[in-house]
Amino acid sequence: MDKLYNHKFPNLCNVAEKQTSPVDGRYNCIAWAFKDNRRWWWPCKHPRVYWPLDFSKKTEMEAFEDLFDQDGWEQTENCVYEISYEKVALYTLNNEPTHAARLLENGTWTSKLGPGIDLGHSLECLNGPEYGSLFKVYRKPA
Amino acid sequence: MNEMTLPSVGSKSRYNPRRQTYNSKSSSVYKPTRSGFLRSFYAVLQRWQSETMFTSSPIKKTSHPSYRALVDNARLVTPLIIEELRKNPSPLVWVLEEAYKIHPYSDSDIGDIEATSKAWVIWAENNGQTLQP
Repeated sequence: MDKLYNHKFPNLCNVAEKQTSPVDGRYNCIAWAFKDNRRWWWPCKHPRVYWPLDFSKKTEMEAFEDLFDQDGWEQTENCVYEISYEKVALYTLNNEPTHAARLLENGTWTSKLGPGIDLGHSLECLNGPEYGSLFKVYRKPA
Repeated sequence: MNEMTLPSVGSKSRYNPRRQTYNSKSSSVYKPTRSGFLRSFYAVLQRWQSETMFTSSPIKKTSHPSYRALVDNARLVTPLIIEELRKNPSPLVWVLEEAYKIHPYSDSDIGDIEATSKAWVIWAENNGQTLQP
């Protein structure tokens, strides 16, 4: 199973042990990071997908930063679990958003890989040619 | 390999590389027959899904050549797409939206893959686009 993932995520191993859900094409990583397992989130008009804010005249990056800002998130350097805070990590490649992960109470980050599986992981595990690298970690009061 | 240039399996005509003119302005652009694209549909779908399996960006997913091939030939294989959506709601639903340029669901369902897939299944049943009679 790892072979399928390693060319995109060279730091990721033991995927079968990390997997927490089967493939499910009904939602994507951004939705999962924001606790929505029903919709596909992206600042995009074609195809029509969900985005909670108006993003006209904004770049993708601006739309993502606007989402965090408007929803009460602040940037933090602290990447570990803190009582009373939710945390979401944003990954970028070539200054474009690619992926988001959410921190669980047990200190593990949880991600949905595109339309694929959910898995628990460390932040470094998803660095690579598919998602680029960690851009920022955001937190907001739980 | 561009799926759109594949000759039909069993076709009497020999493969002609000069037909590899998809996206060109040539008048000899390969236009698959219904049976030709029916044969390659699952291979094209599998390629799109596997090569974008980690991608969340709809813009990147829909710019993949296999996705473009699905859109260009969606009307040939609509019943197959509907069956896929009936079994497994997925971003494949975007193919129908782009091919038919209609949205048979309310705006409140935008982004809801399951709800929009079901809406397209109902649309297909009402428009004779299912595999079942």
